[in-house]
Amino acid sequence: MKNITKVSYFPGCSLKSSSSNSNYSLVSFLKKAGVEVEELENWNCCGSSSVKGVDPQLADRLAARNLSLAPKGVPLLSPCPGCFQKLKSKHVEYRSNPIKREKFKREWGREFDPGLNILSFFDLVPEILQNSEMKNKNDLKGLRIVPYYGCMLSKPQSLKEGSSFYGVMEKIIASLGAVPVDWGHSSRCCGTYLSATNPKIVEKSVEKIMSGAELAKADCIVTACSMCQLNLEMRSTLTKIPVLFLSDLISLALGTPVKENWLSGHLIDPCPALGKRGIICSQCL
Amino acid sequence: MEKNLIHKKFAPKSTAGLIRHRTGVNINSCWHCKTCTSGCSFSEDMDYHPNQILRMLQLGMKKEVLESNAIWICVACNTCSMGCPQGIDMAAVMECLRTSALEEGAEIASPEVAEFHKEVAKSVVKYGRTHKLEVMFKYKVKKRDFFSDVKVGIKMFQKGKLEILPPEKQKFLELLTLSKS
Repeated sequence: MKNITKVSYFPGCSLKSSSSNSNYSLVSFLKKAGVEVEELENWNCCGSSSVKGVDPQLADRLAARNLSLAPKGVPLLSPCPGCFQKLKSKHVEYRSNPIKREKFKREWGREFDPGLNILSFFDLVPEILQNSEMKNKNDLKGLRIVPYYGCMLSKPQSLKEGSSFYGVMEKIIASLGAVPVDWGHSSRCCGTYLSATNPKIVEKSVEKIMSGAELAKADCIVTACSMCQLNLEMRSTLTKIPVLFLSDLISLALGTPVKENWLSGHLIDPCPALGKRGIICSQCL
Repeated sequence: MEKNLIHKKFAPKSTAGLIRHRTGVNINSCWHCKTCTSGCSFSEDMDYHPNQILRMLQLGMKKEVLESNAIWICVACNTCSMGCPQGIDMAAVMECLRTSALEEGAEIASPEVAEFHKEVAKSVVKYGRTHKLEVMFKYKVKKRDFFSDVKVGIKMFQKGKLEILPPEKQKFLELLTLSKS
């Protein structure tokens, strides 16, 4: 991948509302690393997990409209794994179907861009972290972390062509001075929206994940998905282990300037776990 | 992608055919190794396991499948699709079955999940983006369940995870008109 200096940015609904903290730490990290971040103007929801089942045509239009907004020649970053999958699979579908491309042009008044490079969190961040000259300002002092991928790495059959990112989080965690710990639940689905409709099912599932992390003697869980983060914190009942965003962790280690009270946005306070290892964050001071 | 070139008039009648038409998946290639079921995080909460759903489809048990709760418990995390040795996109099949169940007016085994999906879709059409607080509020009103998540809701609100005001609306008018066509 060439050195990326500018991305257009599709945050998605979660990063804009419930996980604005992770949005903040990600964007400030990218800016500090010299990547220009320009948010898509007037973007709309990707359809989440819901719209596709209820109204497939609407889901189609929602993704297509977002694709039509992306400027040419600039990679499109979609850090939310849900949004990324929806955008990417629509892009693949349109790319291989001339009739749909024709319809796209009629509907949105713009030529479909088959060369649009849609980047996920894992496509961009590890690359930048490796290339950037930012030094660890705040060594994570052997903090024991279990990386939690959830279903981020599972792709539908149509997207299997891309690279696999197994092990990426472990590498990042190790490079920041923390200890990535092996455990059995790194790819277990968090339950997404069942958290709203069938909380009992999700509580059971989250408890398995949390107790797995406890068994691995982890100080905290790290994830790159805002849905996973919210579900793990919100539906944990007996075992409560702090759940951090990967971008939070990077910001913490590299000393990227992040707004005040940024860690206090968590439902499970991560400060005791960080303080125990002698890691100083703005909250603990 | 030949599936998209087929005219509506020639759309298949059988459920297996419909699934192939919409998702490109041939459900008859399943040989029931149960990789999908054993990998599924939620199969224990389903009335029929994912591979059982495929078997029932193979046997033509359309009504039972569309009225099962399994199709609504599935959150399309794609774990099954990744593991399938036959390349069956099980998550897409489940998605297709959800759509079919709504289209055909089948008796929905998990109406709460279906209602939630509808509320989210409405919110997207209304604002162009989802407004979580409104979705949850309307959903709870429909379910006549006001107290189950109040505590966690208040906590989320205090932590700034729930926004009271909906996203800006006026810029999405083109979406609104399009969704009516």
